[in-house]
Amino acid sequence: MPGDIKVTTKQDPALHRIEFLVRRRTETDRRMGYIWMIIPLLPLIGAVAIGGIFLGMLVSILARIGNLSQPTTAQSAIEPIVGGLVALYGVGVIVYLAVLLFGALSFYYMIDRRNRHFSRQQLLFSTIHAYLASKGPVSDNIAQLGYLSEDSIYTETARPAGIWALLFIFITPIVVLIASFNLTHDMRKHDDLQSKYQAALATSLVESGFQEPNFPAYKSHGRDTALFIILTAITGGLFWIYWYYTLLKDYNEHFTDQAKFEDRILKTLIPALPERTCGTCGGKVPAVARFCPNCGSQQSN
Amino acid sequence: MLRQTFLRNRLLIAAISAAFFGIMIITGAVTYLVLLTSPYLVKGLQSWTQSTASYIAIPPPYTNGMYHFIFLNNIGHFWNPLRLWVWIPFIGAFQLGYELLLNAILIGAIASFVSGIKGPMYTIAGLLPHGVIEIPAFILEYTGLARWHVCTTRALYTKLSGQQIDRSLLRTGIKDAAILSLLSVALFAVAAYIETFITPHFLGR
Repeated sequence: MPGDIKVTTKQDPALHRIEFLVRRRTETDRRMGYIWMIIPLLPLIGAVAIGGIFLGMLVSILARIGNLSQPTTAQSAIEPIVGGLVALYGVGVIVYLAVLLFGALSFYYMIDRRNRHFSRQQLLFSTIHAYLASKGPVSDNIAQLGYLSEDSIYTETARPAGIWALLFIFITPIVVLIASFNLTHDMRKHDDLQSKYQAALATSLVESGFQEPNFPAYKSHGRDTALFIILTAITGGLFWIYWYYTLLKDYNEHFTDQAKFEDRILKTLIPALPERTCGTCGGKVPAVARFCPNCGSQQSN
Repeated sequence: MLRQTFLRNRLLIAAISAAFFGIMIITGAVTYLVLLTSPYLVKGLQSWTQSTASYIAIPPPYTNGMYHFIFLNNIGHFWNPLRLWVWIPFIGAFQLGYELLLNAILIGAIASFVSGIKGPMYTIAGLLPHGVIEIPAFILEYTGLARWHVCTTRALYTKLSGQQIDRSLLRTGIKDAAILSLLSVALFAVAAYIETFITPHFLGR
């Protein structure tokens, strides 16, 4: 019967594993701040600023020369700004290196968080499937959970974050396009798989005697990778600023949605234990706990 | 049908317009600042453009020759063999990107330069009457080509990865590309007419 679950203080090892995998999301689902938007914006700002200053310097040279047929005059016109030109070149090199270094780092983080998230989720989904399969007869929906877990393991393999980051330094434009394409494409496939898993899990939980989980509606991002690549090419790379923003936003949003989904799974599989009030700090303490999780004081049983 | 085409391509139109106007405004501002620092440069550029103008065979205003020159130059992507390679799926998109940058930079810089020499009113009179039609025509031309690249690249990628091509999606894409291209040609025809027969009136030629 739905909701007729006996909760004991000693958890089923599979349930313990599910809880452990859900708790691990703080390590794997890294949310990247929007400060990383500096990566696509810095080259643009740098190019406009350095280009403008360089043009200004050229103009000041032309203004001083007056007559191009007198080389001594030209030399005397250029000499005062040689220091400025060298400094400008230095700033340009620093900006370029900063973009390369932080760009490589950002792609490393993006690919790494994708890998860690997918890998944790594969473990979580296969454990949930194993747990539900162990509870009783395997229905079509529970079998479907198994197939989807296997699909995920087969299709969502890890991408080498370090190699992509290294390649970014040497062949930046190509890596930018390919890595952005991969990350967007992977999220799209992941969305498809996850929405199917969510639907199958909701039915499987009810079939296994749990309460209706009431999962939040799955939000798919559905970015068109071909459109994004062509727009990046046609706008001279400017569209990549928006594309980079979607890479930050979509994964961050997905992690937040996933956390809500996992919390619902835990709430359905492990109903809340009865609580009492801590005599020392007044905080909430599980009835079976020997120590308060807030202040650490021993609880009398 | 036209409304649906615009709705389907709104992201392309918005992104291309934002890139075009963004580059044009930034270039205009930078050029203005640079020219502001040196009146000498303005005079130098003015004499340079006057001397080079005598080497370029631009037909005189109020003639069919000038109308054909402007119109055929603007729609060159649809007939000029040297520029036709923008239609090669995926690869041509990069050439389009380069041309968008070039056009936006040139328009921004020229508008700023002419404002510096003849004042902002002259620039507005010289650019606005045909510009309000020609710039949307450029954006539609680029959007049509972009839609072509999106649908053909997607179809090629699907085919190369051994999957079934979504024919209805491909047909819609090609239809959108054709509609937007035809619309841009019509607008270019109107803009060229204004530039040949009406703008010179405003400029006192």
